[in-house]
Amino acid sequence: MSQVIDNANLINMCRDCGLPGFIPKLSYVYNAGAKTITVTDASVIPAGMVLKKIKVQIHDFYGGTKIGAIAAAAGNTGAVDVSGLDLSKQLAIKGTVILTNGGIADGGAYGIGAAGDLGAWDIQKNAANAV
Amino acid sequence: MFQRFTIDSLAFFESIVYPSFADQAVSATGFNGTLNEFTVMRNVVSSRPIVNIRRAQNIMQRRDASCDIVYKNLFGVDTRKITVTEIYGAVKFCRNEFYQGCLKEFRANDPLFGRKIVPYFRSAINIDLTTNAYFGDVDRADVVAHQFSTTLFDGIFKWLKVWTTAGVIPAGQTIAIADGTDFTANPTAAFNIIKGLYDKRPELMKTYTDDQLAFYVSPEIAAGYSDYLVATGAGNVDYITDIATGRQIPTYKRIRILPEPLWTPVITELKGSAAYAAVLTIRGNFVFATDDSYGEDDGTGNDVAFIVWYDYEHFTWKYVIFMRAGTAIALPEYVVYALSAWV
Repeated sequence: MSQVIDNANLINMCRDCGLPGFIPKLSYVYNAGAKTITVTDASVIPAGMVLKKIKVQIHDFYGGTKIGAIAAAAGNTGAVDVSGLDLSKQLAIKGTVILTNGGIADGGAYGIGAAGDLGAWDIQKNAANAV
Repeated sequence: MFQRFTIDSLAFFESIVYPSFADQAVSATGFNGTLNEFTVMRNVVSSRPIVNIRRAQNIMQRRDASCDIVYKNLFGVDTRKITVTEIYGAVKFCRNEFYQGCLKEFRANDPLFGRKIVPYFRSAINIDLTTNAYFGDVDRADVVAHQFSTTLFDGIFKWLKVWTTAGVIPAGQTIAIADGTDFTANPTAAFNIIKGLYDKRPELMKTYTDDQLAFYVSPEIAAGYSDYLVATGAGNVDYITDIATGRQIPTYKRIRILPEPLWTPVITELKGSAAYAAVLTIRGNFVFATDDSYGEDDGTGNDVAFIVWYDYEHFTWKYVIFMRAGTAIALPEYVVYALSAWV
């Protein structure tokens, strides 16, 4: 007996990936002269889901960190002052987009240039936030 | 001298993650709190329901003269979820950066530090897991100056707030610890909290035996309670002896009181002033989930979770740990807690 489609490996797959239509997107601008970085939210949040907050971390190559936050959809962090970081080597920006229904998306940009987007988004529904 | 070593995911779980939660803590991890009270779920890949099995009694009925009988349900289930998230720890050690200035002489023959990286790294991971397992809250804003990690994944105290807001833990099962309470100067306050937790147990929780319950408390509350017993002339007699170690464990009405050394420093850092917590619940009620098959491919098809290697491009030793972690409370209805107010 042959099976055309073998779903044996999918039986235990994500029972609730319930975040259809949520596309996180953060873009950054790095002003090397003024030593500031501004991260702006452009996430697509479908109707029925509400943004809770966005957390932003900026890391330098030597372990230094600066923090930014975005409180409302389509907002930005303001100019985060990175002059305290070691700017001789590449910076990395990591962002966490948190929805009120439990959705959490983590993304990053490594070795940043003058401007760009965060990528490699890992999206999941977090049990505690979803209660 | 090795170039690189790796530990595959299952061995990493068995040798590093699981012992943190087992009764005998590995000495290199340097810290021994109440993490061994957690129940560990080891194969959660993204999320897993925790099945809450509700068992019914009161099922028998009187019989009439018909041939019909009424069938009842004996078991009911509803599910709660535990989710895990991917986290990693990565550190590097470059001798030139580390031994600078007057310490230059140590660069050629590193007297101490290089060999100590791995145990300290594991110890740091262990502390991060503990502080997040209790105090983690993904929603919390990161504060660079904080020395304790509390924003990686959701921990037990976040779940307590969630279940209280949802009404699953009624307000009658909670106590607020007023700001400024000093258990050293006022041991009666410590006794009142412990007695209060005991008195506020829900009726069904009283069906559990003393051995199945435990108080998890900030050490100041345990010390204050001990002072209270001495001050009232009872002497420090409310204890049981642990068979395995011979140590005396303080109790209240024969329910173990287990102090958690990390609670006070972490809560104080989060709140900004002294703050405490105490929880009475069933032992094993707190669940920690991880995935013992998670890691990166080491090139031979094996997944490795702990990698140590020397990077010739930067002349630096690098150490990386990958793991998944998440927590949940299996039966939040059977939790009674006392907390200071903190974010």
